[in-house]
Amino acid sequence: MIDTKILDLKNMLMSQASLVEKMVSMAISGIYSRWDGLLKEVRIFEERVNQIELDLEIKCITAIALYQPEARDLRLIMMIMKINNDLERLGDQAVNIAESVEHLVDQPIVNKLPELEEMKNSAFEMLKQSLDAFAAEDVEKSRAVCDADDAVDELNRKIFYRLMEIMKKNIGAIEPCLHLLRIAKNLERIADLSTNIAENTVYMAVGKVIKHNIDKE
Amino acid sequence: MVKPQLQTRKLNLWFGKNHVLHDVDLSVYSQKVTAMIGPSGCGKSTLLRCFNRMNDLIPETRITGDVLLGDEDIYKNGSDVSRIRAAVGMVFQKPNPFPKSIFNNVAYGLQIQGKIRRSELEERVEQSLKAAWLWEEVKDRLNQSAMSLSGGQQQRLCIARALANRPKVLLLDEPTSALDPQSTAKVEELCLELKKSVTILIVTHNVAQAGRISDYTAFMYLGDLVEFDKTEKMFTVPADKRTEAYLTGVFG
Repeated sequence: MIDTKILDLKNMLMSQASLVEKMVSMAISGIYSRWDGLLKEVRIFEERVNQIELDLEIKCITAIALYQPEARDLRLIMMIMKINNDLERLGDQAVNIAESVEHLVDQPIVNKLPELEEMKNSAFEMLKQSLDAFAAEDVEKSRAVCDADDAVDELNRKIFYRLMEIMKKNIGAIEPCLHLLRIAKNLERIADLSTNIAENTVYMAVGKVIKHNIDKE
Repeated sequence: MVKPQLQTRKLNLWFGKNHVLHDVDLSVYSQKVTAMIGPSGCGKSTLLRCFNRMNDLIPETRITGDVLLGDEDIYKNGSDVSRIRAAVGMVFQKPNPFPKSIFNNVAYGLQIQGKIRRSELEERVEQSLKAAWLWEEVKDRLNQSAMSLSGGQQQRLCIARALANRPKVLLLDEPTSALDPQSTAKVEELCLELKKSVTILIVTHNVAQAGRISDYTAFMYLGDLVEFDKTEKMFTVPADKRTEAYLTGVFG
């Protein structure tokens, strides 16, 4: 009885994941080639994602109340609940990026940040890999996502200092730089949330906690 | 709103001077599983037994209010009680097969209702045993005593016996409390299958069981129907403090 309920929850989370992946992909595509209606479209997705988050959360609570899951069943439902929250946050990051993208029309500064393109690609790849790993309950793939997070943090630091230098030299560039800073910050959060998804996937699959590197000490 | 299969209106019941049920208004919906939960002595089994007039057998019982099966008031004068009990089948806590063969246990209800052709009788027995998920286990020994079956099998035989009358409603009074976990799971899954064709009202002490199998839950306390709602609602956000206390194990 509970197996089919859990399968439903998992499928619902997967469709939520594909919506969020699409949102992020739309938002970051605008960094280099902004198109009209981007922000509006991302916001339409956000409304759907928010509603699904609420529905899925209630369904998880109800499944726990009605079926008293244990062991693997319990881990699955609890992690689906946590990943559900992470996905909703990821949707918010996409909206933040899309908002700043609106202010970057024809800004040549974007092209002075080679790290940004790399960061965008890495963060999005982490997100895709974490969702694939969740779907397949793939522990190895999840660990690879977690390992990729440091590189994204490093890129974020580099972008931070590079933008600071640009702003010191050119007051007129402050506005676009602040938006780029915000975009980088949100990309860094996308990588973090993808890492959370991967960590929770490992706990879900094998019951092992790998957060904060505690298993490596 | 869907029309209920069973309904009570302002139902009150006394055993002698003991006022057991107070103004109970309950609706039991067609082709759903409705669970009745509550601490011992709250009146849930008594309420269950009102639906096929089993309380009539207890001396000094007095009932006011209505009990409806579809549109029919089952307590009106001149009601045919055996017909009502065929339409509202019952299974008890302890399996109680007759000391007869497996076949005759299921056939008995049909035989006492009047003449029935042997071929039809055999067909109905087979259908009922299949519907109760027992056929495969007993088809080669239908003439053996029902007492030779395990407890779980005996309980499914009692369900088959009730189903043979093609009831509209099945009343289950703690049907799994004498069974091991595997047999319990089987009866629970059977309920989910049976509700496609019959309305099920189950009394259970096992709150988790109510969660697993019921669509609606009625919580009773000290003779009052405290709360009735969809199970998923009651088990997550109950409306009444007493329901909350019972579900969280504060009393009961």
